[in-house]
Amino acid sequence: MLDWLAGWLRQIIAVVLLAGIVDLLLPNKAMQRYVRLVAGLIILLTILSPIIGMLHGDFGMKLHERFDVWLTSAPDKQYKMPTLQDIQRDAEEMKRKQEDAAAALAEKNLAAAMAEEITKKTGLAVERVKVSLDREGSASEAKLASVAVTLIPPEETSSPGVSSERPIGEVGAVQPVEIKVNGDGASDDGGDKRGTARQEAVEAFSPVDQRRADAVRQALSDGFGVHPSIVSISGFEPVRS
Amino acid sequence: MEIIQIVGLGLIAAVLILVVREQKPMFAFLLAAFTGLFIFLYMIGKIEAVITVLESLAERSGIPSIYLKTILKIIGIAYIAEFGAQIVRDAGQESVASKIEFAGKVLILVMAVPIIGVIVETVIGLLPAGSGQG
Repeated sequence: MLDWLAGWLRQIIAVVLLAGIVDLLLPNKAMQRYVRLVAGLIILLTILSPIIGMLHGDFGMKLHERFDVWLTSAPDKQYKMPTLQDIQRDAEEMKRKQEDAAAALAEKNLAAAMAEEITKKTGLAVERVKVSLDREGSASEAKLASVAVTLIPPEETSSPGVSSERPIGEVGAVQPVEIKVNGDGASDDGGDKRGTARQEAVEAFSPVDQRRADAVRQALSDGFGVHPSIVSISGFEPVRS
Repeated sequence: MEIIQIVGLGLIAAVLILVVREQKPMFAFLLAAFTGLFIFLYMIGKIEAVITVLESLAERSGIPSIYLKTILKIIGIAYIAEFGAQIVRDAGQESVASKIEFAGKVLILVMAVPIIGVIVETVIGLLPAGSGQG
């Protein structure tokens, strides 16, 4: 008990001495009132410390926490000026995005125009034209990298074994494939079926015959000056039964 | 005998400023500012001894180190603000000098905010009915 009292008194005396020295060290009268306020608060806190300690035990930790929050949160609130490098990096990124968007639009328009041209010149129905541009440096100097044309096969095809009146949509309805899996997990079963379906879909894309491909290449070369070597043509052929 | 050096420097600076002020008031101000800065930096190293004494005092009496930190920060803010304000006042810009002093006062008060928070919390906790349902 006496020890605790001695410690408390020592703390108060030390704080009061500290406040006196601070008062002495102060440069002028103008600051004195404010410093006295803070020093008085600290003395008050020291005198109150037994009561505070009785009320909530972790008082010192709480004070530290409060100080930490106050002192560390202050710099976060400051507005950070973006540096020149930041601005330039942002500008580069925006420019790149804009060029990408422009290239995508150009590819789309070009693809639509090519599909129309092919249909007009050769009379073949076009499922899809995919144009990819190769731009090195700026978007203004882009050149065609590849043109992929997917043709819909004509309705009347001369090849035997394919019934012309059967629509393509029906082709997808494959006979259910029975696969025996050990364990019979429901999810495993579905995954296997999906995989089989995908394989069949890939097989459905087969190269078209040379005559039609040449016609398409010729049309693209005449209309757009596309070199035939970068044109790839595939046809959506019905699966032969 | 550092005080003699400081006083000598101050006297020489004062005489030079008086001489130069007639011809070039700009250089007089620069000379005054430089002299002030030199004395400030020269003396700020000496304060270290005082701070060491204060730290040992705080350590031995067991007061939280956060108190000492706060008080030292307050002293530093007061000195720096005062110094800057005086240089600006020498240049004749009284209004800017008073703004610097104002900033110093605000920053000193900011130092007191955590302490005030703890005290207010304690007082509210002391009141039996005031803590919970108010």
